[in-house]
Amino acid sequence: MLFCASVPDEEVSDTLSESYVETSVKQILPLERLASPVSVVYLNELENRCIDSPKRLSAIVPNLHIPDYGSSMTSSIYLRGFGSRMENPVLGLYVDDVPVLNKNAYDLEMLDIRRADLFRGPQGTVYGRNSMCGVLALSTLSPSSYSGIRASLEYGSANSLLARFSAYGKTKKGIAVGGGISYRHSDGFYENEYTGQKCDPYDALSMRFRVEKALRPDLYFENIFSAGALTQGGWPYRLYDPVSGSLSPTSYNDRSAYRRFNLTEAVKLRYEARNFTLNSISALQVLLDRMDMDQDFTERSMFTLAQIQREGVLTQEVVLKPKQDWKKDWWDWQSGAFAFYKHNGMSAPVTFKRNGIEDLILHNANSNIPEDVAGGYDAPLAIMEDSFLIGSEFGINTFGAALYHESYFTFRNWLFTAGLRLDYEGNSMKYCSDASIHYRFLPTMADWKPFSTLYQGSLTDHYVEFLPKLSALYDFGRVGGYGKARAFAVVSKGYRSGGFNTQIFSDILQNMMMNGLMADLGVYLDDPGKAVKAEDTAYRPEKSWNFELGGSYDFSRAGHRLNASASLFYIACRDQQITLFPPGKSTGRMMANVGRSRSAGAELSFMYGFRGLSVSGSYGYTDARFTWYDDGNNDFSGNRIPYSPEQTLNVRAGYTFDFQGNAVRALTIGADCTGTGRIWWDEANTLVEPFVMLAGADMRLRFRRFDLWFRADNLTGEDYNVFYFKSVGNMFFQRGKPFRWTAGITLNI
Amino acid sequence: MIKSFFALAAALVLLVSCEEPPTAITDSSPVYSGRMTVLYEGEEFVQNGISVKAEFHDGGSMVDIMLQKVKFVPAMPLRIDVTIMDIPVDKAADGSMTFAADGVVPWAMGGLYDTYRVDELYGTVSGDDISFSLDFFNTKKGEGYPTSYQGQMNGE
Repeated sequence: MLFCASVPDEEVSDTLSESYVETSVKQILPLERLASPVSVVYLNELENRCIDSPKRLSAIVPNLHIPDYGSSMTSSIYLRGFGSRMENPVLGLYVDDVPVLNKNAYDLEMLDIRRADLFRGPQGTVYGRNSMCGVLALSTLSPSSYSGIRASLEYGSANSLLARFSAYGKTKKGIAVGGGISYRHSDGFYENEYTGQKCDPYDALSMRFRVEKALRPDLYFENIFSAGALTQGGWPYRLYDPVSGSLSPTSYNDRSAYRRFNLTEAVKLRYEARNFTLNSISALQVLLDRMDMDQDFTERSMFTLAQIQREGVLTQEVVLKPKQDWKKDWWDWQSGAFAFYKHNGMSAPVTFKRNGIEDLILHNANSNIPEDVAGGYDAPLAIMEDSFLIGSEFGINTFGAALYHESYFTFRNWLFTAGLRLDYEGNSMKYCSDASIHYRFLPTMADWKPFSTLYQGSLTDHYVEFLPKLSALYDFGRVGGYGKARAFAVVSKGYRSGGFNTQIFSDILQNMMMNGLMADLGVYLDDPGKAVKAEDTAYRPEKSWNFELGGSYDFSRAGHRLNASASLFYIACRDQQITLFPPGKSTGRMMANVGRSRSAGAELSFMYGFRGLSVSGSYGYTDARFTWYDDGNNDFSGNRIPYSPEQTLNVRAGYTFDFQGNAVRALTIGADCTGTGRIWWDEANTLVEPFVMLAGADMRLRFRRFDLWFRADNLTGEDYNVFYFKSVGNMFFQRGKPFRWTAGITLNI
Repeated sequence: MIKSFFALAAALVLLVSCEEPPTAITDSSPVYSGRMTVLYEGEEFVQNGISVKAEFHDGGSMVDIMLQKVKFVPAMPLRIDVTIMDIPVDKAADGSMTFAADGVVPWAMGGLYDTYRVDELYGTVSGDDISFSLDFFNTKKGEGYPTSYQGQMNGE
């Protein structure tokens, strides 16, 4: 079931074992007492609706948009009008209380996810960096609270296959052990016309292993190890002709693929003293990935990018919570400390091929050489190589430390929350880019001349953020003797980390190489244009203040159950981070702080149940605009912030026929509609994607030990765009996935 | 007496040495900054702050004149370095020098740039000053651009 803003007490239980399971060590208030809207999706709902990746939570959670495009590396997240397609997210992701610090790992296999809690609005006080618009906390099945065997096998469109197996139990010595493994395959949905083959095949293997034991009566130990490996294609981008408004088929010639291996080893300790509970969460995360991309996405041999990351992350968090004498009836609190260190050794070589050399490098240079000087040659400057490499190596260190405290004061029907977090973050980057070519100026030079460019150095940056939060919640109790109603108001601050643009370094070196080559020739342009330097690649944190009013209502009587919530928000953002495409035929893109913006909106959600019937829905509206953004050439103030949808809508109805038989126990049928749009694709707001509704349906037949099920998505075969971008002056779109179906069998023993 | 003779001889040697032409410009590369004027379509096209490097070699008997970042016509969208190589140098007794050449293909953009030919080059170097005039003759168009330059080693 999907719940928003408030969840009845009886639902805060494990969906399989009925035992109470804490959602998060940081979540000390029951969800219904949170002065913050929260959407909760339990395991059954996740499985019924085939929510196998955080991307599938789009629109189910109001104002959340995680478009499915590119590859698994692409996890662009937009929430309440903010977000970006690269660098740091606006939504923090925690898996079993371990923060996932690299957005490349956000698109994970949701294997045995017991519940997903999405807290909307800044959660900066408790969660810190990159939780500016919310936090998604995933909790996996715990062998302490569930024992049994689960397995599933499914097959669907595009030869999609998923096989899962997991087992949980306890040993005679009281050690709870559990784990699962899954394999996923798909032939892909999009064809590359150039190769005549699908360009987005997918193979992934994921596993998790979990051990839990009470070392002493007051000391509890958990070890969670998870790992995943995947290899896939992707990027089915289609060239857009702005004159005719038509899209060319996906057709590119160079290899595009993504490979990833990641692992997380987490150790959680809980010490229960007489007057307090101390939780420690330590984690090591490793991510090794490689992306190869035909970066011009055409049949021409222009340029390709390989990006190889070797990243290691250490995180440590300690959370202190009172109990017994330290905890008062009127005062509860939590204090915490967090530290992390991340090292990313990244290589991002760009290979310029013949068409790219001609179009992107030589054309620019030769077009500036006057006829007199050109000596009768159309293209007097020439490069010998058919292809050459711009090598880029980076060593990026990111480190941070934080202290936080939140107090919860209860006064009659009021609950006040006051919190403050002090976050320090530092970044350093060593960079080294180089390229070597042979060139000739045909009117004067008889032989090719070698020419090399080297650009290296280091950058550092650091900052401190204070993240306060104040909220008030009023519990009306039973209204008219029927349901429970609550209202809340909250003011909080969040931020998204700053960092360095690495993807623009090939542009920097390309520019340096041309200027250097011209200087080597003794030729100097009158207007060489503004060159981006390494110092320009740093971008600052994005900060926001969130003001929110909301309320919830729960009703339960004579078998009818209703849960509804609504909220209004206003977010004021400074130093907003936006992905920019440098003008002209540049090859890179970069994150920049562009100015100020604001987002105002509303969110509604409800769930109604009566006997076998369940109806749920959510709606989000966002009016997100730049309030001050002038890039020097254009004033975009007042325009919509691109990529984030104006509205999200999700409605679902289901009915369960309970047969109470020994063989067939129940039949559940469900149908849903998910809508997203309008989306403005550019800062000028010239390209707009209309509101699109996608219909889905599912059916599940429950037997004693297993379920048979069927699910279909995009039933009407809607044709819509999920992504837009520009590369070397060309415009591209990616279409959303077409109609698809999946059928499977799930065992619960 | 003998000591006095040697002391006198040494003094004479030093004196003679002092009277020789300055050796500072031999195989040296002084850089001048000054004004270049090109006569273009009957109008004077003046560029200030133009650097000229005079690279003396072969014991100071030859000089390469390198004009840095110059334009020949106002409409040129770029500036180029032009070197007129191996110009014979005459040294005068007062330490000044003259240099002259005719029909020289200049070196530009990585090689001999035969679109242009330097005619009627004549210049002098005196103390910190340099001045010269020449005709940049466009061999393709068959027209020349009379050019003059005046500069100082320590700026204009």
